[in-house]
Amino acid sequence: MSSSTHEDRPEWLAHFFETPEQQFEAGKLGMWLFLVTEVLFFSGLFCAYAYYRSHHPEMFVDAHFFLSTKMGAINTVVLILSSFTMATAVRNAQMENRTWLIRNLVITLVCAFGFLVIKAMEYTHKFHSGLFWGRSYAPNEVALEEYNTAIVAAGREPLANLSQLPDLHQFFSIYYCMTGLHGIHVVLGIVAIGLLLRRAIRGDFNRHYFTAVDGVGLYWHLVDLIWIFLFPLMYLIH
Amino acid sequence: MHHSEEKPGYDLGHPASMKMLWSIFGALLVLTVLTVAVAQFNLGAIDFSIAMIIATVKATLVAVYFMHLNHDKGVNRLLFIGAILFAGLFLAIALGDVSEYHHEIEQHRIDNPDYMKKVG
Repeated sequence: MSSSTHEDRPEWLAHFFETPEQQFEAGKLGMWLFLVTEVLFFSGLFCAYAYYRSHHPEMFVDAHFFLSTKMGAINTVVLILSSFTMATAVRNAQMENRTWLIRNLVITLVCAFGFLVIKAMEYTHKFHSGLFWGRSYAPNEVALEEYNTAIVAAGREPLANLSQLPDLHQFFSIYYCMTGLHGIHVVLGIVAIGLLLRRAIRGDFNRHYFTAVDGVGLYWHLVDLIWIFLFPLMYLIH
Repeated sequence: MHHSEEKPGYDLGHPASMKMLWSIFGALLVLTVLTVAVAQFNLGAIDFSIAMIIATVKATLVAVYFMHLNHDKGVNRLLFIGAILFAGLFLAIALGDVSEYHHEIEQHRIDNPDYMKKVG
């Protein structure tokens, strides 16, 4: 049995842990196990991407004319900034600097919302052009014009009509699955960081107890890490 | 900050240095600019490899420094590296299978020009 008496036991230390260190390490091990399932979860989609790209390399090259490298690059920078502020949030939780912990979490939240706004702008533009997934894929004149502008800039002849537009429905199915699943993770991250912010304002964390900040941080970095691969795979195709 | 009066099992916060965090942030930004810049040139087949190498370097920086795997326990490192290796194995076997049957699919496509329309 534990030798610690009731009065020297902090309220945030669960009764089944001997020390804060044991509590922290157990929580972190659980978080890493969850991240392992996340990596394997996303690997199914990366596999689908690799499979279809190796079968239809030309489809992926054509599809890149519909994706804005600028938007993708801006979102990459936004996520990297949010990862940085999340890492500094963990540091400030450990140093018991509540003011900067709160500021870091707020910046991380703003970046997460910014990422979603830019993603929504991209999706809206694609819906407007009829670039949907699977059987809903029905590019219209807007798509044709956009495609022609891009290929003329690349030194090719413009297409005369819609029927000449390459069939890219498989690419867009994969695009929406991968960026959509990643987007859902950003939304869940916003919920997690929001709850964290509430606890940080309440003053729940100290140098012996910051497991939640560390755990949400690890999750958020993984969301950034997956985007680091999605960006070149979707936006920088040649 | 060091608390020598700390009870055993209570000293667990090892804050990362701001200098290190800023350097990693800067490196990630530079690598992002680099990968976009490289993509503006048509370098042929090595294009894809360069983009993936840069992405892997960025991901490693995030995992080692932001996710502080450099100071983490061996079991956590083993878990994460193991997951990446198994994901790699999964992709390698799937792609090996693709190349194995690629010529048959190509032949099917040549024999059946309307194949894509029927599936689509």
